[in-house]
Amino acid sequence: MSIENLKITATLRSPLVGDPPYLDALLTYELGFKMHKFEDMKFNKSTPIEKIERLPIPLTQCEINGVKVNSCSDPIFIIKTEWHDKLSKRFETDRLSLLIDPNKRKNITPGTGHLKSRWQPLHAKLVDKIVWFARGDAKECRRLLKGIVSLGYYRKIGYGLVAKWEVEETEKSDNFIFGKYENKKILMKTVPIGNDLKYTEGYRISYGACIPPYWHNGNFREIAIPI
Amino acid sequence: MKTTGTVKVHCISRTLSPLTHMMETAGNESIINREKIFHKGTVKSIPVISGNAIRHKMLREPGGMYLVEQCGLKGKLTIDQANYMFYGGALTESTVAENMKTLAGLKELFPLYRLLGGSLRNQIIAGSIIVQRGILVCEENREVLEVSLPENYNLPEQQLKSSEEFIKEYQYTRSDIQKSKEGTEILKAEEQEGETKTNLMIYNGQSIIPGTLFYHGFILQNISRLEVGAFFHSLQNWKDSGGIIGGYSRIGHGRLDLNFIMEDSEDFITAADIEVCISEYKSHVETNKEKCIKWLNDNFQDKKKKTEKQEVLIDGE
Repeated sequence: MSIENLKITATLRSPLVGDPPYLDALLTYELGFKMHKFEDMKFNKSTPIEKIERLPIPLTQCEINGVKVNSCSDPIFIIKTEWHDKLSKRFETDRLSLLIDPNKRKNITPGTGHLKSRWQPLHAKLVDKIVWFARGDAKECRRLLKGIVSLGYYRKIGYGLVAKWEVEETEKSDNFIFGKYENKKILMKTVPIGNDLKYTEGYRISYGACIPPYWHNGNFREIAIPI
Repeated sequence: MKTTGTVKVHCISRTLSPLTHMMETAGNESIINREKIFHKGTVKSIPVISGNAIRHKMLREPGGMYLVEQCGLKGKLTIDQANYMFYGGALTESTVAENMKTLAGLKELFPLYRLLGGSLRNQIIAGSIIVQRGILVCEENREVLEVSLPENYNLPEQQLKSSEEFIKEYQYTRSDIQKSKEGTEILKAEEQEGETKTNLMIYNGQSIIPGTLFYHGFILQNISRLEVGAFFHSLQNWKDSGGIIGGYSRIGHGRLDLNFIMEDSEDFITAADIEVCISEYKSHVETNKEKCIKWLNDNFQDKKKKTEKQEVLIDGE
């Protein structure tokens, strides 16, 4: 395993719904499949966090405010434009009435209940490229990312399709947690709040996770999110 | 040879009649569905066929209808069963459970729903197919098409037509019997007396002209040969039933001529295996139809019956 500074780029070929994922979350998910971790048990919020193993993803770790976070930046992207697409769903009583058992045919109310017709707005974003900076093993990252064909929500109906992944070495940098912009120290990754953020700018305070699994409330704490 | 793998299918579809895939209405005019793209420094709205429409019309509906016919379920389904088979179902119970036995039964018996996923009354089942949106083959989409088309398929070097050249307006009239010549002969005399309200209506909208090309595709992830069979069989059924997408099919709109290219995966499946996979799927459904009916009845039984059954079990104990 050779550790390098990496610039990882996902080029998209369809609009994105939702936010781009964290790189370490993506790598953890894909590695979990490769290691057959999801076959034995299903993980959800009620699974104790101690029982969820932190997988050996090919990124280095560094300690920020007492928490070992992965050395990778949050996703960096430019939204060129955004709009609302619509997702429709309707139980077509007119087509199906003869297929239903005569004793089960009844009036249904498409305005409410589980057969409610939907005309759901989807917030679509036009994003050409998503970039992450990271420190880790390029070959292993390439191998894991190759299997990821789309990002974001509603992937099943063609949103967030990835045209190609590029993993390239980049010039030396101390780490990808803090960056420099106009001689100011700015935050590039979601990290826990604490003394290490002294003299750092460009973040907002929130409550959430800064290590995978990001959805588990066992990992929630006060965090700083780059803006 | 692997037993599971990933299959990529690229499709080029040509419209054989005007395509009306509407997004919204402005007055009585329906507006074609569009997505925004970035072209030469400006944002443009380009017609697109949604993945949701392709998924339902090309796969779920024909696939579900085949199962209903093969299992002899016409006139025997419950509303929840029909909702699951044709529209993906909905969570209806307040407590979400993860019943491994139910999931295993579904995955073993229904390759189509293993592919498409859906929602049972108390659990959501992930699918394994990604349905791509239908991208209009036009100059504005050149960059997207170049990265999407399979290897060895290139766009012509000369400029393609602009997207707006593929859009035309249609207009129809809904007649009213009171205004027609025959009305005076067939309507009751009292219906013709006095002032009457008329239902005569002109409606119009945008459609895509016949002969337009759309690129779309499917990515089937970690699937078995049975799912490949279910996929191509549904697609074949959709083609055989006229290959319709979008609205106004009653007046001949939305006919598509679909051609596909499957990326060969030497260690899993090649284009030559498609017919074999379809036969395997058909024989799987034929062999397991009794089990399929039982599974559907067990998992979508009436709440009342379910409670009675539980009570019997408790009494039995």
